[in-house]
Amino acid sequence: MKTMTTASNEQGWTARLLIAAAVLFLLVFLLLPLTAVFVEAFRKGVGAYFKSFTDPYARSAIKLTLIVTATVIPLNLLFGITASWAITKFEFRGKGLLLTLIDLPFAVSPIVAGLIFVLLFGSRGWFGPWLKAHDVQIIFALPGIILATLFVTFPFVARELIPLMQSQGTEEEQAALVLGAGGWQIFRKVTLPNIKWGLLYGLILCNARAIGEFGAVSVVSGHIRGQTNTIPLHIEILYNEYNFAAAFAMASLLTLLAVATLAIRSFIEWKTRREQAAALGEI
Amino acid sequence: MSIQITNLTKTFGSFTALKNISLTVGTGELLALLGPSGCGKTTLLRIIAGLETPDPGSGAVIFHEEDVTNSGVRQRQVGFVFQHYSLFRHMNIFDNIAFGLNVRPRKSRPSKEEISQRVHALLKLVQLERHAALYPRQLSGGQRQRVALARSLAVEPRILLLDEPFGALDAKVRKDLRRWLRRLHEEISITSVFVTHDQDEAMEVADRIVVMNHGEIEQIGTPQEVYDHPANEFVYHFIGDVNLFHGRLEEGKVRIESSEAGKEKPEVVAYVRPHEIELSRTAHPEAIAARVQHLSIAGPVARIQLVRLDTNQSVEAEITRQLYDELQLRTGETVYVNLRNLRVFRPEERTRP
Repeated sequence: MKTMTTASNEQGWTARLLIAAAVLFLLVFLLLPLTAVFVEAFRKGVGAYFKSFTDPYARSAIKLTLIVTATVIPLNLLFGITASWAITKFEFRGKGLLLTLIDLPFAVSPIVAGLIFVLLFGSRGWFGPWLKAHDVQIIFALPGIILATLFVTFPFVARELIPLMQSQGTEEEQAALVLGAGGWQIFRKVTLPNIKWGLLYGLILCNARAIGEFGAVSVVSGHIRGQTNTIPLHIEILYNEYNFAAAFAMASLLTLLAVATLAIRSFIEWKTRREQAAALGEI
Repeated sequence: MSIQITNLTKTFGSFTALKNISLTVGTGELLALLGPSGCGKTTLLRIIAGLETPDPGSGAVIFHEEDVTNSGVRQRQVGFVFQHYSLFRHMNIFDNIAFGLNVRPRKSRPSKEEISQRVHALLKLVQLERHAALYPRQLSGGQRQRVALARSLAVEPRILLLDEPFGALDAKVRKDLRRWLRRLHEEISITSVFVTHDQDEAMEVADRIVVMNHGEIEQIGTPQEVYDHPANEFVYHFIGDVNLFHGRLEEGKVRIESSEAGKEKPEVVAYVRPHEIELSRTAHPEAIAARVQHLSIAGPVARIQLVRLDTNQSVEAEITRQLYDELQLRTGETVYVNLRNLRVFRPEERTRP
């Protein structure tokens, strides 16, 4: 940007034009809708806004979303670290395939992700009869929602950690090993402190997606009010019932979450940049 | 603590990194593994540490009568210093050095005061007493390498292994640090093996040098032995600068001739070090005429680039500053080259392809 501001007049005009276009775009497509969410949410007054959250169905949706997120995040933490550790610290056959598989959920449409689980565990699915015989309900119940959310969120942590751990190499771990540290000690005292910011970043993205996921969850949930509706599904139902104020009140929750995610994300990026600058300063 | 290695082989896929290596390192000895990159020296060091495993059934690593071939890294109790220091970047210098003690099981872990005492003693040994609270990124390369050394010594290893310890440092720091390592070794006299590709470093620091090439040991000897009596062409080449002369063998003597005479005599290649070349202004039958092409005078020696008048081959000579001042050489003039110490290798001593 510095070169832009000190550049010639002509370039100055180009810069101004581009900046204006970008700002206009942001206003129309991001800031305006964001404001609309809150304006609509408060249209019937603050009282009505807060009343929307006391509705039992709304409470149930919030609760379900929290349960799903609280289950998915630790599992993704475990999976993300395991996969990144395996990929970056060891050499083995099929490493490339594993890397591709981790990216698969990003490439597959969420609807397809949902359908996969219906196909597997639905009443007419592969394991459907067996599950029915053992009285286990996966589709149109909590386990299905968790599985679908897990599927769409699992690349986040691993995708953050793999490049980071690749750039750090394995020499510090080897040094710790020679000094007599055991596997768990090496992880806790050497690897984890080096990857903590990347890990947190991955978890925050994973959290945002887990709370906001609509497509995959919509397929497996069955939309049973008070039972299998997550926040995004509940919003859709409210909206279809022309209950706009309540729909936007719930939407404002998700929006606030997004803003918070962005804030934490910027903080982490700022923090990692500082640490990277410090690391570069050492060479 | 001595180290004994017998018939060790290591292959990576189809690449043979080490071929049937046998080697003994004496107690308290400082041994250098010297060779070009890819010669297997680092692999050998890592096998001694237990960071790599030799090919199954191919040989043994023995620490003072204890066979550690199948022991893990932790059981071997070695100190290892990495080329790029590998300090723990999120720990300060004190915690870096204390790491090996802090990770011990509670039973064998020294008390906090003991650890602190030992760390401070080591900081003193590596002359970084005032840096305990700093982080690795705040230190220079040379300081970091000293911390890495202190960290490896904190656990009182049975042997010390160093992988190109000065490789990433600049020339001046390198020289200081290798002298310092030599002195340190005399002080604590722990059996040590270090890897280097720098022959000066090996010559200056090591008690004995192992010259390696293509996964095999070419020669083992004291620096002087290796320099004065190189076992083969490769060692001769690797250990210092060389001039090459083609000649023919005549009645047990080498004749450096470019003429067609004596074509039936066997051809040989003779080697001369630059400092074994004499220059004079007067012609005599044995001498080779050459033109002075370039002069470079730095410090006590003068390096002279010459071109042979008969074959246009270049020859490098090194003479004392004093002699240089007496000769008053000028670029472009013709001088006579006399070879003081010709070295000819028998065919079996020739470099392997």
